[in-house]
Amino acid sequence: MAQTPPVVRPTLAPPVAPPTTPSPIAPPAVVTPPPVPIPPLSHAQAAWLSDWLKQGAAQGLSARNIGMAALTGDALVNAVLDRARALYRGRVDTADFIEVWGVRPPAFDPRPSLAAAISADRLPQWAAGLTPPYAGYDGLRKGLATYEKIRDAGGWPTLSAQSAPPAVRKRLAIEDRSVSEDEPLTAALQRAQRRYGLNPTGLLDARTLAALNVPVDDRIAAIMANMERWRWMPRELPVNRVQVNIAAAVLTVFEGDAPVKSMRAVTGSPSNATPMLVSSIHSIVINPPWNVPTSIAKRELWPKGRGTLLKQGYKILKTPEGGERIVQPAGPNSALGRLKFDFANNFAVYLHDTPLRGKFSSYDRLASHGCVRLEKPVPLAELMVRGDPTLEGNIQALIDEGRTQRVSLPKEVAVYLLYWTAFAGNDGTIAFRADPYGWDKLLAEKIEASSRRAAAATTLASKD
Amino acid sequence: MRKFALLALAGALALSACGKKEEAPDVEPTNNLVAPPDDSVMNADQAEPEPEVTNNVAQPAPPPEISEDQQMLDDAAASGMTARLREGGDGEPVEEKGEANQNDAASQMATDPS
Repeated sequence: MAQTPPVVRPTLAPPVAPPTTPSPIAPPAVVTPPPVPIPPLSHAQAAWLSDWLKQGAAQGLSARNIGMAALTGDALVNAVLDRARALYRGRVDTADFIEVWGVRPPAFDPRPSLAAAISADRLPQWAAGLTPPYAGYDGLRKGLATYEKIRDAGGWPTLSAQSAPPAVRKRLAIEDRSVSEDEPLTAALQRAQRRYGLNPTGLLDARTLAALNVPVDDRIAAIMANMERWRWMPRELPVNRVQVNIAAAVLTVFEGDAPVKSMRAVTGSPSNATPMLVSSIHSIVINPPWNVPTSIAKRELWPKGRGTLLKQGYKILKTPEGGERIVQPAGPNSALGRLKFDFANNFAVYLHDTPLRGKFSSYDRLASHGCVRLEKPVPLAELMVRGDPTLEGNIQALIDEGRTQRVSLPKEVAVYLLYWTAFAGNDGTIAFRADPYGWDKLLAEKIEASSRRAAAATTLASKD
Repeated sequence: MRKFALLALAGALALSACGKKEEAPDVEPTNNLVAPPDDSVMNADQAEPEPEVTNNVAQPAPPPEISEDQQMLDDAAASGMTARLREGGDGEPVEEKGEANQNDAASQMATDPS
């Protein structure tokens, strides 16, 4: 049996030296190594790369394939390098990110790996190694092709509350290949509602109608935006980690790279976006008090009046500056509940318990000030302290003591706050969530703008 | 475009307005960004009202039976399907990750004391 040649792995750019600080002594000159030379392309290699460049739409880099002039020489190489960077770390430059998009890919120089691939004549393997190595990305890539076919076939009709059941069934079958004439319509509707994150009543209610009537172009834009976010992900993930989908308000714990526990969450409201970020949970505060931030106190608590606040159990403390601040002592009604999971980040957010348990039964759970509230905080804490004989199995007992204490985890646990509004299910069907923060549209526009700039630069270079 | 840019900016500004930059120096910096319980806390355990039904199907169906394992797999897909693909680009996820990443001590769960 013929052996598959090994993948030519793209390599990360060499680390960039940190900026130097002013000094009376002249610093040594920073020597930038010359760019790795690209070997001359054979005729076949140039033809293969030209074809490859035409396939940007398949990877979600443009809504439709952009017609490209035939490129040769340096113009072709520059276009290939630009495409490689886009596939490996995203089309949009991190300088164009908004602040709360805190998952940021490192710099990537594709020249060394491209030069090696040309020399070894392994361009297809090199190209295959550029895209994110995750099933989530691949599922979206396949889903993108499906939705582009739907679009090219005319999309789907708009439904109304008066639509006849056969019309509803026909509409559902466009996205769900398992819809059959033999099953009750309610069953097909429930599957659609689960895919959209709605209450699976089997009724064609207003929210279900709205989800079914989202134009196919918007669904394609959502898939493209999520493919771009996959390109921001690290190429290696720790096998044990916590992942939160902010848009779906759900958390999953992975051990040994496999899911072992999941739970509902409550994430930031549209006006208090939970940031995307990567960090590590280092400790848990048991029975945490809540030091109310000035902004929340001013907006939501001080207007109630001191008497009401004191009656509700808040404490009003003097600050060294002569002002006052509000603290809610630890206890069953503390806004933080009984547990708080701390991790370093620039946004002062964390995971925590909550006394507001009713929200977890809702299908609309974007309601916090930016933190992530947890449906099952005690089991999550128990998972994290496993292996520590003084803590394992004792989380509830420590809570019952009533004392505020911080416990360090035996090992830090990676945490990823991510924003997925389109993702493939285990059967390959694409599920969607609303875009509560408007980030999909914003990102899709940035991708298109960046793609147009790159295409224009390539066109300009080809005329030089 | 402007609408969405403004929406995103508004979100960012709202978040930063709640952040620790605004905190008094003596305030525990990590204890913020949570919703204060309001006066309706005692009633908050009630589920939200169902959306208005406008449809052509008679009665709500009982919720579909989803096993705990299936729900976890669905949640994992929603959280980001991070199973790795096989090298070579055949699109099939790898069943289990090797030992290499097990040594990433900075980001391990406390499940393997060895």
